[in-house]
Amino acid sequence: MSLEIKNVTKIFGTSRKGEGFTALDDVSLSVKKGSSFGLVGESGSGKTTLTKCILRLESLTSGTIRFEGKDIHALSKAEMRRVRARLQIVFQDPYASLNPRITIHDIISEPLIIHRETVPMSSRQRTERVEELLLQVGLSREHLFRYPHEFSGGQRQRIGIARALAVKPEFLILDEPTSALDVSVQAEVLNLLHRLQDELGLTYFFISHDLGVIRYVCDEVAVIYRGKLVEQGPVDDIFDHPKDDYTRMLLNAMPDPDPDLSPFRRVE
Amino acid sequence: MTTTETATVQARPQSARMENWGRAFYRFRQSWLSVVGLAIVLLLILVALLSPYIVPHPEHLQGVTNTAARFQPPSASAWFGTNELGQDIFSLVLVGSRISLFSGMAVVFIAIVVGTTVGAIAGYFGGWLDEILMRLPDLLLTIPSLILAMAVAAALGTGVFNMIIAIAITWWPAYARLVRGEVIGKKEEQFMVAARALGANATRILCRHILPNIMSPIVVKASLDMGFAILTVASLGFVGIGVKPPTPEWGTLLSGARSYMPDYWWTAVAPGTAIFLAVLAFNLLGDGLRDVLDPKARR
Amino acid sequence: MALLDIQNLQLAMRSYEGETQILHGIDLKIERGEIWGMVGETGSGKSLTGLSVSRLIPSPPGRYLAGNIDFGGKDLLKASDRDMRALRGRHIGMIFQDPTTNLNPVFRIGTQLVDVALHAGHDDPSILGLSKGASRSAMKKAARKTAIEMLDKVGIPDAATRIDDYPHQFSGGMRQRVLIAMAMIGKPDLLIADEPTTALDVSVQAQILRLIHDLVAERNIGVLLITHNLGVVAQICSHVAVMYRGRILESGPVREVLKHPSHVYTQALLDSVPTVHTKRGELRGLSGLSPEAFA
Repeated sequence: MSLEIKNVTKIFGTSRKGEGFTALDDVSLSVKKGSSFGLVGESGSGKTTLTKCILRLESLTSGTIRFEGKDIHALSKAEMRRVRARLQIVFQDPYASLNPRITIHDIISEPLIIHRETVPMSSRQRTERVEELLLQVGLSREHLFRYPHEFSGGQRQRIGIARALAVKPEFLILDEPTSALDVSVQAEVLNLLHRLQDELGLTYFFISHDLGVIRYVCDEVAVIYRGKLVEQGPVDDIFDHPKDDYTRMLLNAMPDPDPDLSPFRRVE
Repeated sequence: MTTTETATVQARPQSARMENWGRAFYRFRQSWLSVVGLAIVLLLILVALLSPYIVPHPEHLQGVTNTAARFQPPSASAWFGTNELGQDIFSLVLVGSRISLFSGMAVVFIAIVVGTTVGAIAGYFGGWLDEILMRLPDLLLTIPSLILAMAVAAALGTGVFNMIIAIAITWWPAYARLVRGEVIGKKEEQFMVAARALGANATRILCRHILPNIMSPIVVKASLDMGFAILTVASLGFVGIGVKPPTPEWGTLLSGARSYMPDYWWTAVAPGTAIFLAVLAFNLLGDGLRDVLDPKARR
Repeated sequence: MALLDIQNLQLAMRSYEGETQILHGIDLKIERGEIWGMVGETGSGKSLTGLSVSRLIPSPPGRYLAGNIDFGGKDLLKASDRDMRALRGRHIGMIFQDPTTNLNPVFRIGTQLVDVALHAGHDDPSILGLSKGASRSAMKKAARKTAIEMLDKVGIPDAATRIDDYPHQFSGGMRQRVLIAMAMIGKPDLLIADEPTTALDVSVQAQILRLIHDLVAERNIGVLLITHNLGVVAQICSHVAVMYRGRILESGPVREVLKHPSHVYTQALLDSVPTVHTKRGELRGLSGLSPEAFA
């Protein structure tokens, strides 16, 4: 197992008297090495809180999160640093997740500088690594010293992916990486993610509200609703034979691009 | 960061940066008032730099008097007239720009350095550090700044440096407040979260990610403040706490003209207009910069 | 005569780089009872087309090079600002993408709705169920009643009390309903909806689409629905126009276009949508196609 989440509960605002807000309620799931695990949920379901907990940007109220056997929330700061190098994240909004004031070269090489103890490199090697990463995600060397605003959404997301891959992590959290992109660009980014997984043997934890995207990318899926996992299992099982009402509702609400499947279309 | 890129890729950043500047100037030009502001500011700086060498009566700056020619109205020989000591007001006002500009810039610079440091630390770390650090600015902001500056200047004694320190003490809290607010806002932005997720430490996040991204409001505020700083310097000079004669300073000149006001109006008009123009120019420039740096504020 | 008839609309925008033409001759005809989907990707000009109809593009930087937009026997491009103000809200309703920023957070929902109702009622008191020359207080009363009825119609439960709530007390989906109520209160003939469901969850999206669909059926209005989501178009629209780089590549009844696209770009777009049935490796982007192939 690559990532194991056991009975995780996160309650906000318990420090004061009274009821807190339960963002995650007894969540358990496990992600196999080299596989893609999808987490589906709507806004406010707790998906983002879960990623923050995995990255230890939020503390847990109870439960454990293990990454390759190590309890993430029990690690020392130095140990956590080493884990961070192997556990990277790609964010949803490619416009907001890149610092607008620094060049692509500096954005992508930042993890290399932060983790220079884990991956010691000279500045020349770093630049070479950045160039290599740019090619890997389908950009080119001449983009090196441009600023984020000069790129389209899809290109920015490729930059975000390159940054995440810089320190050669094994595990990638993808937090709605394509929801801000056009469909044609989304298709390209999803195919890029497939290719990278095949080439680098990555494990994906893919968060999305788009069931089509989840089905396309993932092997296993969990559906989260108001902080609780309502259903989980292999994608084909869940999509073809949903057991939970909420899952079924989500599947029905997905607008299909086939006009004949429209619930509004009367027989004309 | 030092890198050893090859020449071909190094050509890139320059053109990208040039393009950014071009784009910025294009937006700036959209309002002719900001261009006027910029022109006056540049002219002021030029005058301040060159004035000792170009004024018609440099000897008057040293306190030389010419009582035979006192209270001459503006004429071809003395453009702004002469004062009660027969000194050429044009020369005095021109050289007065040095003190005004220099002190204005120094005040704003000190205020930015102190205010940004305190505000950034308070905003980023929050908690008790924030509470402690921000109480002092809160306290200072409760006292009218001119009165506080006057009190501090009176305690320190007269002189340009003491005056600058006195004004800066009353000014940095505003920057601390501004920066703290901006930092708290930026802290939640996704690229900050991204940097934290990468494992970046506080210094790195503050210096590399937050500060460059909050420079815009600071620059805009600094430019708008420059006008008020000049005004404050002049005010202190006017009430006699700032710069002492014979060093020419706009506020002091205006103060000296007070008693001769209705009859010898030109003694007041020249320094007064200078203050007016400088304050106006910096405000126009500030507005223009805001349009460039923070286009969302307008439009 | 068509409800809305856009002919050869050409728009240019000025920027630092100079003036660039954004719309290269848009032709579109919307009849009552039709829901036109306008699909395209970022920068295709679909939103600018919508904004042109309600004349919300400031000039400068915008400049119309050619074309006309006929609505109710008038060319909107030649209409005065005053005429446009009367048309907007009254004959042309608009809904935007983000339901949060389009409601003023410091005013009650009711205040904002009543304001719109009064504006429309001023023009035509029959909207409020009054005859000409009604008193101010009667107008106000009727406006509030109309606002409550409209909220009820868009599915806000307990509208009579919720009308006095502030926007932050509503969820995203509810806010979008309020905005639809606001757009519909003047009984417009044409509704322009620019990505009305993009910021919403899929379950809420389905409800909002249902609402728009029912409004069209009930009031026989025309709708221009601007979206990047082909699924939404397939579900609710009767017609579709596919936009790319300021041009309509293909338009017609939705089933014809989406089932048998005549343009490679439309096909490519359809091939990039992952549905719940798409299997790994089946998606295609546009990368294999050159932009020139679409022109």
